[in-house]
Amino acid sequence: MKYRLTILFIFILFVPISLMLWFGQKSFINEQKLLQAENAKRGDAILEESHLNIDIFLREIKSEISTQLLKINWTNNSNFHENLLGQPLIKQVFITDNKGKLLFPLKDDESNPDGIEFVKRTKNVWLNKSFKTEVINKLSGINSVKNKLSNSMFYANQKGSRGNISKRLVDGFLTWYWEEGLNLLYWCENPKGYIVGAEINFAYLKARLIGRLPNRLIHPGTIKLIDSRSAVIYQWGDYEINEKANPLAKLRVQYPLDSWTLQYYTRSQESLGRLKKVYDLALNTNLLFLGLFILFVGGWIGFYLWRDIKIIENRMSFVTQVSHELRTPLTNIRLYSELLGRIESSNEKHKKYISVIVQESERLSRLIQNVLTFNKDKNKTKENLSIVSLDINDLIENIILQEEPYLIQLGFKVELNLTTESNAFADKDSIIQIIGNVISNAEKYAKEGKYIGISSSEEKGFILIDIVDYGPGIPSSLLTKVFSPFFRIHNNLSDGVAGTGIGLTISKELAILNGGDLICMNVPKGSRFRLKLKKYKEV
Amino acid sequence: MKIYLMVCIYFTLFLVTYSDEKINTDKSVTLQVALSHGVLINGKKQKIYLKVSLIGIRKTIDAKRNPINLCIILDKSRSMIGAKLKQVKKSSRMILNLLDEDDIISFVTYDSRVITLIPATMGRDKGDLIKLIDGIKGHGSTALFAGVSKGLYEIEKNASTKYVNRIILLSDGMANVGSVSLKDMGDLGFAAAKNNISISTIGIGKGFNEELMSSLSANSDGSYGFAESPEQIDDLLKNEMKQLISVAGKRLKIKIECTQGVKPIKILDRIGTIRKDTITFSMNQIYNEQNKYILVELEVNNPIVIKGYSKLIDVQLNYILANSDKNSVLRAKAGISWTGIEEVKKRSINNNVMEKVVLSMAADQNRMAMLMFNEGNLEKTLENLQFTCGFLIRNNDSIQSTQIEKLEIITKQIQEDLNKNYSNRSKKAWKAYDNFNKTQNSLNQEYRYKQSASQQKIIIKKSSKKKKARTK
Repeated sequence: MKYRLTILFIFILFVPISLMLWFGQKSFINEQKLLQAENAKRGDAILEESHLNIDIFLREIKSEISTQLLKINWTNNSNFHENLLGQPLIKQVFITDNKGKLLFPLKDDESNPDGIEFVKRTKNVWLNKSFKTEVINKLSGINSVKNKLSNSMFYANQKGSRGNISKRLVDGFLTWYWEEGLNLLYWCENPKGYIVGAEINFAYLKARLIGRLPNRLIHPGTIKLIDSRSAVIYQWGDYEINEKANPLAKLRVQYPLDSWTLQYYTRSQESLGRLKKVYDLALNTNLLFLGLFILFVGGWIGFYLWRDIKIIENRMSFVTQVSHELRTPLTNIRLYSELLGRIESSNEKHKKYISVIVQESERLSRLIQNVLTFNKDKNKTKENLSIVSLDINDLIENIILQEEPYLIQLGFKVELNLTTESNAFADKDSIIQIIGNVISNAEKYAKEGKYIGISSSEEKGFILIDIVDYGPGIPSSLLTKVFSPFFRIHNNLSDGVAGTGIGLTISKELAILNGGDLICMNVPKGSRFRLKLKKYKEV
Repeated sequence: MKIYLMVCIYFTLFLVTYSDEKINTDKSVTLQVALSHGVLINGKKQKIYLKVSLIGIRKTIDAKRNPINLCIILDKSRSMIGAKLKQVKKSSRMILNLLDEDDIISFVTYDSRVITLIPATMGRDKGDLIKLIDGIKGHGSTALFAGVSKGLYEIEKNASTKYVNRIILLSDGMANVGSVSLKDMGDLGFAAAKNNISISTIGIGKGFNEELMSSLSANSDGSYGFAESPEQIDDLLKNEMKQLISVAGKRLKIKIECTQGVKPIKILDRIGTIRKDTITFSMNQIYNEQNKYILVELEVNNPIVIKGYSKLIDVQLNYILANSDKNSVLRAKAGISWTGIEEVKKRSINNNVMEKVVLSMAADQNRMAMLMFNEGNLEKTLENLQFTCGFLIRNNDSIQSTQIEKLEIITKQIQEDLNKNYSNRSKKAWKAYDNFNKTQNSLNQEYRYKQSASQQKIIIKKSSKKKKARTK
């Protein structure tokens, strides 16, 4: 009892803590997810804000270069672009016709070695159709209202040969890979219908962009600008990024820098992660303790059960031995009292006393037999059965003949209605024991009915022996339970009914071992036990 | 007739001795033009070298110097902690003290992140600036490209021709964050040069990438210095400041126009542009007493001959005078006379020009050798270096130049170093020489200004020889 209380106490302690932690963790994870989503949203906004810098920067670069390029007055003079080459952003200048065909520089113009180099490294651009189609598309697209490319264009006030016409500038970027990485061309249409373009000093463009990007981040965290090889181009912000950390938000930079990505990292992710670890640890520790505790309790209970079973087994073997010891003297008592009953000289009174002795010793021997059968190994019992053809009516009559005097003495009325004509296929001793037990049961519990009816009949290859009493009956919910060992409907000693509680159990087992069954059912006046036995079939 | 002949002979001798035509103004730069030969063989296609020399001559040292727009970019990565950072802080104080109120200073530090410690500001309140610099703490890795980018941004705020625009980059490590490509660095150098900005780089220790650093400075007409130990930083920075203070001319643009029958073949070492018959160069600045020169290989094929003399090239120098925005123009020309005798052509060789040509060729070979070494071919490298030595010795027979001797010694030193596995030091020291060879800019004392002195020696030597010849 003391132990139970302790166990209960510990259980009460651990279970709620575990539950609390579990729910805490659940809600924490949810909260974290929510927070992360919120952070991601915030991260996106921060990146958008940073990208604005890049957007404005690219616009400025465009306008800067286009202003320079539109100054070109190309009259086949190879020095027309010297001034342009003094621009740090411009590496080379090129001119094409409005179909994207290169007019300057030419690949065989020996007076312009740099130009030859340029044509060589941009070879793919001139061979590839994509540039030409883009130029043609954009030039023709200007006339259509649905100009898809309007995003990448802007208005410029040109003072070209056509006069002061505010005209939409047709332009574009072009990227290609050569040697060590990304290269960038910018082109635009000049008033004379040529395409003037420049190879951009990409390293300088990158440097200018880095210069333009902020030194510090007003938000907590760090933003990284990375290139296509995941190398960091520039990063700003106070947060030291863990190498394994994943960015909270990502944003691809706009064309032509679309191989670059902006990434936002912030502290909150990591601290949340740390808190989660603490939570997990606490929960896991608690669960571990709980598990150990349950294991301990289980072992403890198991040990006690095992100990109890051992004790019961010891007691049973004691009972069996005692029963064995009782059997021999009882047999002698029966034998000599029967012999006494046969002596002629004895008067009626003596005879009556002797018959009581005989009956009681028979009852006692049945009880002992029950105890012995109960404790025997079932397989052994089965081996000892001698199942033979049996005239069941004859057997029942014999049993009743023996029991009748005692039953009559108790005021019972016995009725036989034996109708079967076939022999049963069963063990004689078993049947005697079963019917004896059932009748003894009726004697005990159906005293008020004062009636026992035994009938035999046949059904589908079975012989049915019904033993009916007019007792109080058995509640239908307990109809099968009455066969459980040590079960008594009223386990009350004050009822004055003595019993071992194993009679019916043994009877049912024996019936099953004989290939039949014993069942109990309610009838209007009382209860009925039906013994089902195999019919003997002559071969 | 006799007089005519005499005049002719004297004229030829004059040409041989002073094929350089000096147009010496009282400005701050002198322009000299010289050809490798005074006489060429009649009617043959021939190769000839042109040397254009510029010398800064800022006599009036007392006059107000040109204001400086200076940005110091400091690598403060983890590896700089200790003596290096301490020395840099000390030297930075020296630099700040040298700056005037008109100067502009900015200070950028970088590790994995870039901090603009001092945005471009006039050189006042130096005390506060020094405090800021003293507070620098080493940390993190090396985002070289981003650091230089931010420095450029600061300096470009004021990068006009009014100033001497200069970035000084101090680093001791490999760039390990961001762009590390040599092409990017080179391109950045070019762009800076176009903006009148020169980037001087100082590599500290033996761990930095000399290729990146030197390409940045070579392309932007800056200097490159190699500080093997932290103590050397101070000397290098002092040299740099001395140069900055002594700028004689800014934004130099040299235009060489070839006359008919003359074709530019290639430019030796320096970066310039050939467009048809015109060769152009630009330099950001020239320091006092600095001698910058340009070597060009020309092909002469039937030029116009007037009275036995052919003008081959016209040179025009455009530059801005120090401490003003006044433009100044200098012009010079050079030509040759003709002979039928090979011996005469040989005797007309200008050793002063040939010396530089030989140096340039040898340097080119060494460069190739170093490339091979970087590719891991030690044997071939040594073979090439050996060849250079032979080449230098052979050619120095007639030229007798201390410069060539020096390069020979350097080449031998490299050979030795490579053999002894001192390649790291050797590579960096070689870059210092190579950069000097290309741009005549250097921070390391051993290269600085020696040239003009030695050149003067040679000129004296030669002229005495010629005098002897003349007296004969």
